[in-house]
Amino acid sequence: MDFFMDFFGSIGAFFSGVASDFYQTMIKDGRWLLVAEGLWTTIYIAVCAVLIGTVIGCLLALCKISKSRFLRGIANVYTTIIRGIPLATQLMIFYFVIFAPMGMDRHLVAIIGCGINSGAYVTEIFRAGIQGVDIGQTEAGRSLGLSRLQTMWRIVIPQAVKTALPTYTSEFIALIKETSVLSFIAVMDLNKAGDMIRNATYNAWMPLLSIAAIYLLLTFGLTKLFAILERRLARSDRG
Amino acid sequence: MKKALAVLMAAVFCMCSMVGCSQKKQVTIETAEDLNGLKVGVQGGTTGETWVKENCPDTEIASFKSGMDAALDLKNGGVDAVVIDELPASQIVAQNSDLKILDIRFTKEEYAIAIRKGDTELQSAINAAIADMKTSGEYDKLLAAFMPADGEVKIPDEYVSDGSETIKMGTNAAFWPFEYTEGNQIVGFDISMSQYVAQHMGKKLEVVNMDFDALIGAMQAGSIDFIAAGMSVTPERLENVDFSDPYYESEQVIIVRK
Repeated sequence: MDFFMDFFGSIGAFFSGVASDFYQTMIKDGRWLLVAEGLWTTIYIAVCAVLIGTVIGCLLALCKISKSRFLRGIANVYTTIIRGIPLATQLMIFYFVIFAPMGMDRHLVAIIGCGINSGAYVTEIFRAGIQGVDIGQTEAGRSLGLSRLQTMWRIVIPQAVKTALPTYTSEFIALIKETSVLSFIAVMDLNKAGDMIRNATYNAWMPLLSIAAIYLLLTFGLTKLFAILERRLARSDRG
Repeated sequence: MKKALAVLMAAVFCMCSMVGCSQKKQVTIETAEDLNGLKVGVQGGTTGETWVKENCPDTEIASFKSGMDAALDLKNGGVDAVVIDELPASQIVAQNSDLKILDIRFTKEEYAIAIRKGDTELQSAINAAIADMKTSGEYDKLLAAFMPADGEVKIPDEYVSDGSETIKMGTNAAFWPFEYTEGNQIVGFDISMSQYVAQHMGKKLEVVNMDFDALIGAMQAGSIDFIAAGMSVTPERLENVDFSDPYYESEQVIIVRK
């Protein structure tokens, strides 16, 4: 009996210790406001960046499959350069070398930088999606008298979207995690908010674990959301 | 197609250069409180950052990985002023002719070696080494080497220890002249001093370079034994680490564009 009392007592003490630690580091002095601000920054930068990335991805995926060598060349150079350089390095180049001397705000640079980076990956995802559609589909469309553009727009793209969607959504989720390097250009994202709490409290594990939990909840929630979307799109599939 | 692209690029270039000329504003700062309402760059986790946060609440703080990044942003017009320790500031200004240090002094602080809370054995060993260094004249030699009047730093010989045990010192090598990189070597006043301390204790020194704001966490986690990184003694830090006797007195300064 005593043993159990001790056991549960120590567990209780552990949790109340964690709770008070959590209060001291994350709640006191309104520090959770920092986290909320950081979370908001992370989300809006990721969302804006993925929109830019999608536009770039659409255009360059079409360039990649076009007949013009020039367009294919541009798309290839772009994806090679952007995918070959780490995001942190790219962001520092975009900020310190290119955009800041022009007087651009660092949040805007963060959005553009992440957007350009994501664009390269989205390009490859869309290209793979389009090329994954059986060539017979295009041939059938063309022999029915549709133009190249019509075939692409009405027959190939709708099918390509469906196959590309899972990888496309995971690119968005990856982008949310990648934004954690934004503190290199002094943007206060979720990760930096954790850093600042660490600097104010000198408690390492509570801010880090809290931030990790928030990232995990965010990505897990989005994964589930996108899974529902995928299921709905798959309804029209036979078999 | 090529023509259209060229026109587009020319347009973008023109637009950008127009934006570029208009942005950098001149600021007048007479007292440190004038920083209020400005954009201020700092190095994350430093006393400069804490000071600005506590004394100038309306400031928009940009917290960078190193003082040099903050200075670069100041040059580019991203921030209006940078708050940083005086010696690294003097180096930054020496290398960037378009920046200057203001004649305002608003804090006094002392650098000391940080150790884990309650590690009194290491604390007294370090204090003994520092005291010994001061009486033997090695301390003045190091000062003369790293902070010479003519600005020509001569890196002194390494203090070599033949001990078998290693002791790990954490630092952030972006803080001239206390710790910085020369070629592929990390050198500086703190490094030489730590070598002296390690030699005094009969141990080998291992220098671990990391972000300044990661140092205290790393020491608490046990991956380094002490911190010598131009770290000032503050009440907040004292709640979480112990400090040796101070070894250098410093001040925060404000850098602005000329």
